[in-house]
Amino acid sequence: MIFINPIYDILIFSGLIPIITALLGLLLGRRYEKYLGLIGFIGYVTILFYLFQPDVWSIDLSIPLSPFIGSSRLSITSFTKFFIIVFALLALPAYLESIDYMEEDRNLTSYYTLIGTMMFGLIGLTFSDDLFTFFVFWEAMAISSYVLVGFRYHLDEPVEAAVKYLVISGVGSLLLLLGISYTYGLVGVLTLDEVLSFLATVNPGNVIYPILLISSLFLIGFGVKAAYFPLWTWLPDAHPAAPSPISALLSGIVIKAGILGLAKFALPFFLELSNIYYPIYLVITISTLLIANMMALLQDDIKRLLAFSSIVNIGFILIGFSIAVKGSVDIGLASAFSHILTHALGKGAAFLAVGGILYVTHTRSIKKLEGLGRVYPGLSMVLMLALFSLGGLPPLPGFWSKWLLILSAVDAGEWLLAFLGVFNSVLAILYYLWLFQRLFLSQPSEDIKRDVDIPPFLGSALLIITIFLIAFGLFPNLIYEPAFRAAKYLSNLLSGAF
Amino acid sequence: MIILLSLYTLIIGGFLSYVIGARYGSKAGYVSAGTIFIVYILLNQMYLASGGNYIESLTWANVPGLITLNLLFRIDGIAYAFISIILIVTLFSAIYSVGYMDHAENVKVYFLAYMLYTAAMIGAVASYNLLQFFFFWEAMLIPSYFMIAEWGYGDRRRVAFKYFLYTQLGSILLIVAIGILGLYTLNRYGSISFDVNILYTFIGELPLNIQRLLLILMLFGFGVKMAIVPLHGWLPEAHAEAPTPISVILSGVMIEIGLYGLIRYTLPFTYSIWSSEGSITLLLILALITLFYGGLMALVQKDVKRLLAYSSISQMGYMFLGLAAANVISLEGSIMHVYSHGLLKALLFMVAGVLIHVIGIRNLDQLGGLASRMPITAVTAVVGAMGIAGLPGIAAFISEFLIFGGVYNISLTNKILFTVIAVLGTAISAAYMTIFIRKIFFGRLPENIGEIHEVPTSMLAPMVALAILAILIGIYPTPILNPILSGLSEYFNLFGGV
Repeated sequence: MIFINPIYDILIFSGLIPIITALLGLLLGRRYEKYLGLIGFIGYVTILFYLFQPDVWSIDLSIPLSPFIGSSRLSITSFTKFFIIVFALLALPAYLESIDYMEEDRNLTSYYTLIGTMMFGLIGLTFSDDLFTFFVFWEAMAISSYVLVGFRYHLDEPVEAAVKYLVISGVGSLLLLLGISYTYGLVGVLTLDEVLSFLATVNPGNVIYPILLISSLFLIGFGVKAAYFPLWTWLPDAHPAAPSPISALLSGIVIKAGILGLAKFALPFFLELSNIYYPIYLVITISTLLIANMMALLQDDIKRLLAFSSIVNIGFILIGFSIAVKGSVDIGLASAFSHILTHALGKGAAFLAVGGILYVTHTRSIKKLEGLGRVYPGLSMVLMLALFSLGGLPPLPGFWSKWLLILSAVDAGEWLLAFLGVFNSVLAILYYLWLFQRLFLSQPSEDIKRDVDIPPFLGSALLIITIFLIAFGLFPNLIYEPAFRAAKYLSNLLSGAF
Repeated sequence: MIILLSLYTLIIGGFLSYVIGARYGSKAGYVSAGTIFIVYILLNQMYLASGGNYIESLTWANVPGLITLNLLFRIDGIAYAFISIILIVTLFSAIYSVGYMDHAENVKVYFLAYMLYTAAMIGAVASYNLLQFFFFWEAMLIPSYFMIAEWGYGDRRRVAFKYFLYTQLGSILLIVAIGILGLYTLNRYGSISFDVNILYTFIGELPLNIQRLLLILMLFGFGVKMAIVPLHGWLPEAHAEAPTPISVILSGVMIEIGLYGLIRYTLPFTYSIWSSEGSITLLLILALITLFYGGLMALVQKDVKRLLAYSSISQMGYMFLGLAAANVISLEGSIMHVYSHGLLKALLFMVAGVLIHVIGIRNLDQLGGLASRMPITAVTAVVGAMGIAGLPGIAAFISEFLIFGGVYNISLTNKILFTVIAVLGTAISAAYMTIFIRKIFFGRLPENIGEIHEVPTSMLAPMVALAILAILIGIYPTPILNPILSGLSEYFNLFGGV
């Protein structure tokens, strides 16, 4: 059933979620406002169902946003659909878990409104077909995420982390805006197809410096959000400091917005100067993988460990992206996109499980969590399942994407990247096994309270994400097909232009 | 769907045992044994009805242009021999567990893990898709790791972790080899596939350096599980410290699956390298080293189970010798030896388990004279020991004879030398087996061993049954030799071996 057209339907619907949340929050008052999370949950379930209707699923549409705003365009393609699926899949359990996890906090109306706005920004990003619209949604997403990190403003850690995040990410956005304005100066319009046809017709020798400038600005601007080497400094502070459902959203999908931007808008510029940017991305990928993995192994704070692991996984995604920059757009992006999906599931599950663990133990120190598996086997199993998926143990989702990443690296002749991929996976699995032993085989420490019940919404959030993990692991088609279609769409677009 | 159904039956049987085990303790072993028996009848009938070649196929993941995976199972004569010995050993070991595990904690989880372990082994052998094989291969590791770590003896956690590490490092090499084959399918057929019938189209076409690489990777990958010297480090400890019914399975059937992997996935692809004079000499020497190292180490062991563990290494040397010679006679001997060694080693480990269960002493020097107190155990032990020593009339004689015949059959100048050395190895087997029998069952009964009697029937019956089976197969081996021969003749047609 299509109301206006799929783009407006989904956009308006996800835009209505924060508005309805805010209005209902005024009516409900302090006592019931925690149930506002259900609105977002139902909303994103509806969006997923709407998206999977045959007539919406098969549609491929591009429309001007409105007659007033210059050349703004929105489009719904397999690329859009893939990212909506990733974003919505993780939003469901995050909304559900918030209901129990945040019950003792105040200002929950603004909390849920902010999540709604952030999700609206993310959904908008997927539709944007021009850099101007993209930037508007980008800022909607970014600003609400700054506030969400610092949501518990009475504590020191979140505020410090939020300010750091705001400053660094703000500078990143500014550089991105600068890049966009240079693009406007160079091309004259900002829609993707115009940019592509400009790049296809122009003689690269004439515009090499403008293109170099623009793509460097994009590399930094998107890179701050994607948090790769050396622009990641804000992430290990911001992600642990946020409430756990927000950490799940930030690590699972918000940093992927950077990759989305890179793949859709920056890749054409990189491809134009492939011989310069391929080595740069090679260095970035290798440094990200190695340094972040070393850092992850040193952490005692479990959320900080997961935050560093997010950076490592961005490194994995960059393996695919580097190969795309080298020229094999097709398989490079397919593997990168598969990893975006599986990492969103795995890291989302890990942060949600840690949320559950924090709820019952109030500690993030791995030392104090020893023996947790003997007291709370369910919670610990979800955490371990998520970690094993992140490490790439078959038959969990992480295996399928890491495997494809490594294969595509070998296919492109990049043995170094393939070796690093294997090496880092092995390191991660060994580390997670060691963690597994500490969690399950040690004697429970005194700090773990034994009589806390897992509340219903938190439990069902974990159940949902576990089902996702297992289903996507057993049926790899669910990962490969949307990812491959999205990659195919972009590579067709690019091959049409070059 | 019969193989898939069998796997489900085994898993459901595991959960059934869990439920029964929660109420009736180790009696749940009868449920496990019953399930395994049903599966045995089912698979046996299916194999006979299909005339020796049963295939089933299901689509697993299919993204054109990227990946084509089918869930493929196939049972030919070779797989049939492995499957029937796996099911026989696990069946008797499950009955044996009823008596052996009666005082253990958490028996219900033990039987669940036991059945998952069985299902994984059957799945690995029946798989006809390399990636799927790898999944089951990995799935074998997890339950066995837990069973050693939870119900083992001595320093069981460290031993289990060592076992895990060794096997996992081997698996990494395997997955690299699998990836190389997958990339070949990508380049030729335009999508990645691991179906063995597709992979077999590359036989004889792979460049020699790729063949060499594959041979090295897979030899190390499978060799860790087979405990070929120098990759055997995990085996003596793991087999000695595992709970006895699990030692039975580890030594009796699991390590042999490494041999199956080499037969199915390595020899066909690398035959031109394998059969060159240099490689075959090297492989034969490796097998002889394993054979003698295991035998000599077994001679000097004081611990009953360690002696048997080293004896397993030595017997793996025989099987590897037959495989290294790579002709129909020697391979027939190898696979037959898997069968007979499975029966005999299972029997001997059960005898060792009786000592641990009844007397609690594992040291050979502190035992003696038990034949008068445990006549039935003593008789079965003598059958097992003489079988391993290669006495005619008991199963292993035929298989060793075939292996020696096969080694003599290769076209190598030093073949007589190799055959003579290999035959000399049986003298060592006879020596350590005689020591085993004499020190436990004959001589003077130590004074600290008080009133002891035969073990309960549930432990005695499996031992008697295995002894009778070993003698029956020793006298009339045709029911096993025929399927193996028919499987092998088809197998050698694949790559033109002799």
